[in-house]
Amino acid sequence: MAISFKGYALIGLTGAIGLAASAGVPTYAQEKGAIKIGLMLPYKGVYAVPAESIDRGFQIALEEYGGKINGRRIEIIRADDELTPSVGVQRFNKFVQSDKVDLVAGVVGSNVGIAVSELADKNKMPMVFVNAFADEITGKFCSPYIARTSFSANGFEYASGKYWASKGIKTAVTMGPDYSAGRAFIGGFKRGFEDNGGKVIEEIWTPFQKTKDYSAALTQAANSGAQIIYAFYAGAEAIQVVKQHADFGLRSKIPFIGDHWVYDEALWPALGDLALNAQHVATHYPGIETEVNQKFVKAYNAKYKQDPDVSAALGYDNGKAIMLTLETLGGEMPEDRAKFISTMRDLTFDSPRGKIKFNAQNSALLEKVYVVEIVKGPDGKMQRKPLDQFPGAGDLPGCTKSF
Amino acid sequence: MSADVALSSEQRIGVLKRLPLPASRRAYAALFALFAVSLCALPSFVSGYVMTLAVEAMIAGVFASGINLLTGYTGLVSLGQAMFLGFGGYGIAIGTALLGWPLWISAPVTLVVVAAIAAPIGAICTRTRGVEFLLITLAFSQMFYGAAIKLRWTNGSDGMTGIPRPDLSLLGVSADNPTVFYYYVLAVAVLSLLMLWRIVTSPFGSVLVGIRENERRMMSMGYSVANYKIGSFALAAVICAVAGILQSQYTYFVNPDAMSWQMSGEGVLMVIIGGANVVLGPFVGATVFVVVKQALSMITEEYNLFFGIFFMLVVALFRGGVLGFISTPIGKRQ
Repeated sequence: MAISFKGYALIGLTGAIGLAASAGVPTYAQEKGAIKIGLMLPYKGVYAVPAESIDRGFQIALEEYGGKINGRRIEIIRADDELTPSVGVQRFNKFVQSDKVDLVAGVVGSNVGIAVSELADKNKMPMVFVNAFADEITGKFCSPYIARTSFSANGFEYASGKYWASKGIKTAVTMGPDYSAGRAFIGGFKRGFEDNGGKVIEEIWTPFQKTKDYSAALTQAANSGAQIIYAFYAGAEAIQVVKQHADFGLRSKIPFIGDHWVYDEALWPALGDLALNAQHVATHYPGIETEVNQKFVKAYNAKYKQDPDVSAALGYDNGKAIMLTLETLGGEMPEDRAKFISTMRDLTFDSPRGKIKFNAQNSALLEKVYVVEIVKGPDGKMQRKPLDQFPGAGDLPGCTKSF
Repeated sequence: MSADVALSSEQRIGVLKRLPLPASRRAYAALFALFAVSLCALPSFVSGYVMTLAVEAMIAGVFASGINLLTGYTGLVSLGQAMFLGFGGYGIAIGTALLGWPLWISAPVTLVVVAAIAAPIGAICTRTRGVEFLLITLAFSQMFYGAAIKLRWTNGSDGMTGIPRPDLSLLGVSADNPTVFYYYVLAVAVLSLLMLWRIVTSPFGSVLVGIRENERRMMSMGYSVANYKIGSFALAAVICAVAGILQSQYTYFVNPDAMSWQMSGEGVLMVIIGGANVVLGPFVGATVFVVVKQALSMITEEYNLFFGIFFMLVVALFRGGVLGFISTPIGKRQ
């Protein structure tokens, strides 16, 4: 008898666990009328700073429309993908099945982007990437349910490589984090640089998210004999690598040239004078003298009391493209959700960075890339001085689907 | 961590005394019946997301069960089982995407290959015990993790996408449907459980428990302890690889993160939470793990911190895990 009692005790408890399992997960009440956007960003960790800026820029775009399209409220549901593909997949599933979102926006890491692209395709869920620059996202992994409002790594970096080669730089050594976006950016630079007469002497890869010590890589770069270090880093990693480059006294020996992520204004307080006189390429900076940009900078300043960095501009473009698409569709998500993305593809609009157009694979193109120098302005604060500009390059081929 | 898993020998004998074989069999039969009924009925009364969590819990449960065979039954605490999780996912990814084999060939071939790889690894690892075993399994898994990050033909750290789910068009359904996939995972999980139960109740399983309890005595009784350990290691690897296949099909995706040591650690945590050396323990542990983590992540962004506290509470209050706790008569609880 005691035996069966034990058995039943076990059964009872198992049942209780089952009940607890279903009770532990609140099901959200469907809010009728609101259009739900799942915004997935790495709010913690190495990309916490850009993620926060993207979120802010995104909100500025929504506020331009009063948070409503055609009388329907726009609701943002946030999730942290922790820059980890497996977590991103879980969060994406939660968006689709629990939150029942109409579309998903955001995603910074290309690693997460690649992981969720398949899910978006299978679930027929529109996924509008804010960053996820790796060329494969709209190349090998292209889908009628996927769009990217920023640009591809090749579009940005090929043009940059071409530019530096045309400026008399003959040899370069590259540094970047060893993951999809790092490889895509540096790969784009290398193609552009070498197609135009430059030579990448050495490619140095550092472990992504797993190191704070760049001394070995920097020593190797310094001993390579190249004219410049060309690097792609962002967030906390950018701060560390720029500081260590200066600590080792390499500033006079071999310049550390990067882009707007290495010298992001969100990092200026941490970099201090190290950012001063750095030259870099940028897709956006607050000083661009267009009406759209000045309006954006003003709105951003009014709300957050600071100038927008490039990530804020990218977040704004992401939100703006979504709002424009929803507006075109009259505030309704079409039955066939691929139509949402194809509607977005047909958009052309003026954004703070310049004109945005999409290519056939739903990837936004770069109208121009700016070359700037960080200088002290008349008010003593750091600002950017435009030096030059050049057009962005096209995307790499690789998409075998047609839609 | 290892200290928590390695119960004192009195406790182990206590567990054995408390659950004599026929008794545990009847209890398990009843449990299985209840489990089967409630799990089969689940999709009809819960939302899609609870089902997704159930799928995650079951996959984690299969993974933890593989670890439990090694940790709970054979007494070898491994921190490298995630490498086999990764092998499972990469196996079918390589089979279907790179070699162009259909899934029904890729999956069994993957399991055979995993067993073939696990046997020599096991032969090396099982020469050690305790902390050394833990570290050498960790070293092996980190080695393969590093290789997976660097290998270009499996896309390095990007991983491989487009992993197929089984083609169930013969039954007139598509495994892309969450409910259908739920039943598929349920079926595989139940089969794995039955296989495990068969293993641990067989003479082979008794020898494994014997090794855990007193290796010298098993040796002096004439058992080839080394071979049994290797067998246990390989079987555990195959079960973890099954979980890896399910995991990659669930996400349509596999990347080196599946082989990280954190994943191995989470598996060991599930075993400890649920209760080692009970067949159902890892499933209970995995369910608690998935549900608590999910619930905490809805409340706070810093859920890992609170999950750590939760885990400490389980270890402090529930000796022998959740199942060990409830199968202990109240008077005898510490």
